Amino acid sequence: MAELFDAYWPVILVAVAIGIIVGFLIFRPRQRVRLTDSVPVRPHMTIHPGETVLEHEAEVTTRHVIGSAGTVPPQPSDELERLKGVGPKLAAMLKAHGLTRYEQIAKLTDSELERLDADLGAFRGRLQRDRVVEQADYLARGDAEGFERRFGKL
Amino acid sequence: MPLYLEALGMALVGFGAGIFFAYLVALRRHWIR
Repeated sequence: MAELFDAYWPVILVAVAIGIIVGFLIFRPRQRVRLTDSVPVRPHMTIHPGETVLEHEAEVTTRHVIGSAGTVPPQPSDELERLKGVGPKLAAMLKAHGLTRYEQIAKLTDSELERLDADLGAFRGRLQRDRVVEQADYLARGDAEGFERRFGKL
Repeated sequence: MPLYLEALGMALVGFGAGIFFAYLVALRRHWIR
């Protein structure tokens, strides 16, 4: 037995290493959620009735960022009608999607914008056409001068 | 006993030991029940 080990210890070492790797792959921690008829969606992905996809994702992301403790302090909402191309109706729609501040609009990613756009009905394409995200970026930074230079008088 | 069988046997034993080790670690860390 000892001479076998002496002769083959490199082989055994490699085999042990491979075994550990394979073993880890088999036994590694995995999230297992068994979906049933009463729980058809993963709990963190449930969207409550009356909540839009964007609102839900905003909430999930916020919770992820600040941790489960504490709530987000309510921020004062901005006057979205100041953005060119955004009237009272579109502003109300944006607010319904949880977008109340310039900063939020400025930070929308392309995919979020696409999804939001699909929900805007008659205003579809308006955000892109009037470069609302760019406008919001200026206003979020408080750069009224730059805004007026690019988009006209506020 | 042919030499390659010996080597193969040793490799198998080593492989098993590795998996067993990983199993024990997983058990201790509650990755599995």
